[in-house]
Amino acid sequence: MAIIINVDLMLAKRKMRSNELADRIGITTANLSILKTGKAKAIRFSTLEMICKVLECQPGDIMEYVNEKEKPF
Amino acid sequence: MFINNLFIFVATLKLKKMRKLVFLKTIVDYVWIMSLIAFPLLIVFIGSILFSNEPIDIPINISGMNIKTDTSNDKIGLVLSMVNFGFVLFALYNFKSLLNNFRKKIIFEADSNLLLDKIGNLVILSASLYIISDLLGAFSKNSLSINLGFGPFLYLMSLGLFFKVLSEVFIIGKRIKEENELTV
Repeated sequence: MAIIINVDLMLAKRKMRSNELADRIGITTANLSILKTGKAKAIRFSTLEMICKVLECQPGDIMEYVNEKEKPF
Repeated sequence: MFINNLFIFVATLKLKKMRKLVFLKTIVDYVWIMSLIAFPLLIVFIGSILFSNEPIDIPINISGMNIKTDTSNDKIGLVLSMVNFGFVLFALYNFKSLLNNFRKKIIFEADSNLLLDKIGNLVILSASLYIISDLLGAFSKNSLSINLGFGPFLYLMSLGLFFKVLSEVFIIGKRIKEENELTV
């Protein structure tokens, strides 16, 4: 997928564990894992809002667009 | 199984809750059991007609149609009708499995899609065999009539195509379900 999720990076910067983030934004750890591994097909604005609120960041900090054609092999 | 379904059906009627799926399953189970009894008997009966050299005086009537076994075309038509019945029976078996899946809430799954597609293919095959046996019967009588009405062939073909379309709709449903499950 052309959208890359950088939640792990932000979690490391904030020194926060996945379990804590999942608890604070009100989703299951399984769903957070789906998001982190890039398996998620969509993300709700409410979830995005909570992630940004808890991690004190902008949506652009946790997701990034990468052109797949330009992606190095 | 049929009696079990019948008890469930009566219980639901008592509760004044008409559960359509249980009702449909009861009907399908009843038809399935009756067909299972009739099919082997029919195979033995038609086998005896095909392999006996003497003409049979008993008039055979299947679904209002008088069947004659004088010519080889008639015999081929009879065999085709039997094979056709076999396909319908297999489609019924798959339909039974599909209803079981629905009862277990296995709805937008690959298994249900596959069953729907299989039922569609079998019913279309059955319609094709029906028209072939119908044509063979017409040729043996040296008479060809064109019926533009909604006959069994069109009915079966429409039913088969309906199941095929339903299978495609269920594939879309499965994709939507997966997307919904993967929405965080």
